[in-house]
Amino acid sequence: MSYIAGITDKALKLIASMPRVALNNLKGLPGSKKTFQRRRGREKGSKHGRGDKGQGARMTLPRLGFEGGQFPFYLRFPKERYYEGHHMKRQYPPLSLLQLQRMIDLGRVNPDEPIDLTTLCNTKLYKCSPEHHHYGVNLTDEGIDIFQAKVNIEVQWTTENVIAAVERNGGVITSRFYDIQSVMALVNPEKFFQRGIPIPKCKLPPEDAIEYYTDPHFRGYLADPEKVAEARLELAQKYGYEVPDFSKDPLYEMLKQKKDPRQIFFGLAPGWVVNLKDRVILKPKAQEWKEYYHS
Amino acid sequence: MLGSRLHSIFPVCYTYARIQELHPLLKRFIVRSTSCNQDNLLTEKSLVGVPESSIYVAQRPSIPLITKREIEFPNRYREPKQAWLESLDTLQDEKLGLVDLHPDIFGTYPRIDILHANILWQRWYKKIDYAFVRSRAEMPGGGRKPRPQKKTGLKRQGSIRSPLWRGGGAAFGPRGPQSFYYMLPMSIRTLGLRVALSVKYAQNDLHIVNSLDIPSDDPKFIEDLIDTRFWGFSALFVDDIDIMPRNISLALKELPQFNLMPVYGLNVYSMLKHETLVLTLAAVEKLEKKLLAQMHKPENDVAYKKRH
Amino acid sequence: MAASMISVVCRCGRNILRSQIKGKKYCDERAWHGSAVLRATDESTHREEEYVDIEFSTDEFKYVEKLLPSKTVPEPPKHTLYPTPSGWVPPAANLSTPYAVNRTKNHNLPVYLQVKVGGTRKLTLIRKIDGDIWALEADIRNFLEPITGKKCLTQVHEVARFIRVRGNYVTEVGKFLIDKGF
Repeated sequence: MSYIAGITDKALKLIASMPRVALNNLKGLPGSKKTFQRRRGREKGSKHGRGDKGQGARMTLPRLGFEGGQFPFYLRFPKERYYEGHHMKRQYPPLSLLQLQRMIDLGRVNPDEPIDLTTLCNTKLYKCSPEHHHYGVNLTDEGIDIFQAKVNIEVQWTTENVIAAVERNGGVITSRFYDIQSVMALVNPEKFFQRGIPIPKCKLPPEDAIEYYTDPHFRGYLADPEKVAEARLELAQKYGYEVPDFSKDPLYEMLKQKKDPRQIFFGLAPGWVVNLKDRVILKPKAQEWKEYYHS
Repeated sequence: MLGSRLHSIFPVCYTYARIQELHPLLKRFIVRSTSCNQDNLLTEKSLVGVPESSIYVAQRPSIPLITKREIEFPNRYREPKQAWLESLDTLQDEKLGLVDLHPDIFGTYPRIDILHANILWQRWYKKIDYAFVRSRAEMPGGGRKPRPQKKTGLKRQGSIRSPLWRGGGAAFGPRGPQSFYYMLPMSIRTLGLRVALSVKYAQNDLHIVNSLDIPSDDPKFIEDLIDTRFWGFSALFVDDIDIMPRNISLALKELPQFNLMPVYGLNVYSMLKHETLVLTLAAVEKLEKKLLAQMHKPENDVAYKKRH
Repeated sequence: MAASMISVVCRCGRNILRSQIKGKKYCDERAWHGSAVLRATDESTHREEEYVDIEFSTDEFKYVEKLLPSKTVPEPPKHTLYPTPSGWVPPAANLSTPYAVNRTKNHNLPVYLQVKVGGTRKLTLIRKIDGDIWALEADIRNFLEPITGKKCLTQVHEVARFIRVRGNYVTEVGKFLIDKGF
C-alpha cells in the first residue's frame, strides 16, 4: 500500500500558514449565494421581464389544465379501468438476481443462512415500505445468467425462470405470503421488538392470492411438498439441468430450514415478546394463548 | 500485570474507579514495555482510602509510552495523522506519547464553505423573531369615515388607521413570532465537524491530553499552564463524559474564556469560537468512533421533513 | 361496570407482568395480541391472578441477534477469482498514479450520471478524488477522446474534488478507473 500526498495535504499546509480559521473569516464558495432581485434600470427595469399588463404580469394565470372554458383534455376521455383501485393493490418492489448476487459478493447477505425479507431489508440496499402497500420482494430475472449462489431464499413473488436459476445452483426458493402487520415486523425487526408487543401470528393469504401460494410451480409455501418435489424435477427437465440431492449436501441443514405458515421470524414463535434491553424472550404459558397462537 | 501498566500510563491522580473505567480503552493501545521502579508507583491498595488531594505524584517511567494506535476503517491512500499525547500535570509541556489519528477526520480537505454553512445554520436555526406590529385591522377604531368624501377640500379618506396616516396601522410590517428553523443535511453537519477538527489540527490548535485532571484547583495554575504552552486567549476542553474532574471545574469556574464540554456537545461553532481545542484521549476515541460510524453506516441520509 | 374498568397501556412484557390485572384474565385477544391495552376489573382481589403466566427464556435470543442489522457496512469477503460473478473488482494493492479515487462506503466506484435540463444534458460525475486532480482529468480526456472521436469537455472542481465530463460515459470511465487499479 502506498500513500499519496495530494491536494488535501497541500490545502492543509496552506491553511497552516494562514491566520486562524475563526468565526470572523468564513465565507461560502463564490456563486453559492443565490439572491433573487427584480431587474432594475433602463434595460430591464420598466416591466421587469413580465411583459405588459394582464395575467402574466399580475401572476393571475388560470389553473393548470384549464383550456379557456373548453371541455379540457383531462376530462374528455373516460378513465382507464386498468388503474382502478391501484392504490389498494398489493405491490412487490423488485429485486433482481444481479442485485442479490452483488449483495452476496460484497458480504451484505450471508448465503450460508436462509434469506428472507428481513435479511434483504437489513442490507439497506433494498427498500420495502408496507405503508405503501409493499407486501414483500419480487425476485426478477435480470442477471439470470451470472447468478451462481446457492441460497435458501424466501420471496413473495417470482417467475418460473428465476426459480430455475436458483434451483440450478442447488438452492431452494419458496414463495411466501405475509400480511401487512407481519411485513411491518419483518422490514424492521428492531423497531418492532422495541414496541414490546407479541410477535404476530401470520395470516393466511387473501382469496385472490391463494392460487399462487398453493401452486407447486411457484414453490408456494402452502403447496404439497411432494408436488413441489415433482415440480422441481419437471422444471429441471424443462430447462435441462440436474437437480442435486439435498441430503448429501454439506449445507443440508440450512437448505431444509423452512418457516411454519404462521411463523414470521426464524426460530421465534408467534406470541412471544422480545425484550431487547434485558436480552430475554417472554413466552406466554396459558393454554388459551397457546391455542390462539398455535398454527 | 495490567494493573502495573495502568499506573505506568496514567500515574497521575486517578481514583481507582476512574482507572477501572478506562480499563477497556487501554486494550487498544500498543504499550512499550518499560522498566521502572515499582516502589515508586502507586499500587491499587494504596489508592483506596487516600484523600484525593494528596494522591498525585509526578513519578513517571521513560516516555513516550504510547507509540501506536489502532484505526478503524483506514483510508487506502492517506497516511494517518499523528499527534502528541500531552498531560496537564505540569506547566511545561510534557509528551506522554504519539497517537495516530484518522486522516478522514483529522485531515480532511479544509472546506471553509462547509464550515460557513454550519456556522450559518447554528446561528439561524435557533433564532425566533418576535417583532410584531399591528395592521390597520388590528388597531382600535378606524371604522368610521373620518370626513365626508367630498366638499371638505381635503383628500378622500376612509379610516384613521390607514397606513398613510400618522398613528395608522403598518402595511407589510413584521408579523412575529417568526421561526428561522431549518435543518442542515446530516452529511454536511458531520463533514463540518470533520473539517473543523482538521483545520484545528492543521493550524496546530488541537491538543490531545491523557485526562483533564490538574493538580490544583487554583485558577492561576491553569492560566499559567495555558500561557506557558502558548494556547492562546481561549480554549475548549473536551472530555468523553459530562462529569468533569473536580479541580479543573473549580479552576475554570471564573474564567469565561476557558470552557469544558462533553464530547456529545462538541460542535463547529464552539470549536471555531475558541482558539485552542483540547481533547482527552477518551474523547478522541469516542469522536472518531461516532464520526466513522456515521461515514460508514449502511443507510442513506434521509432529507429532513419540516413539520408544520 | 364501565367505571370500574382500568386500562393499562404496556410498553414491554415486564410491565404486563406487573400491571394491575385483577379479576379475570385477558378475555380479549387483542389485549395480548395487538394494542396491548389490558383490561381488568377490580371486583376480584385474588393475588395469584394478578400476574400473567410467563416463561422467561434466553436460549432463543441468538435468533433475535441474527435479525438485527449491522451498524456499519462490512468489509467484502475475499474471493478466489475476480471479477466476482456480479462483476465486482476490489481496488488494487499498489498505487501507480499521482492521483487516487476512493471507493464509496458500499465499495463501489464513485462514478455517477447526472441528468440536467429536462434530460437533454448528460454529465458523468467522478467524485472522491485525492491527489493530483488535473493529472486524472488529463488521463480521462486522453482515454475518452480516441473512443468517442469527439473533443472531451471536462470540468474540474478543486475544492469539492470532483470532475464532470460532458456526456454519458459512466461505463467507459468506470472501466478506465478499474484498469488504473481503483
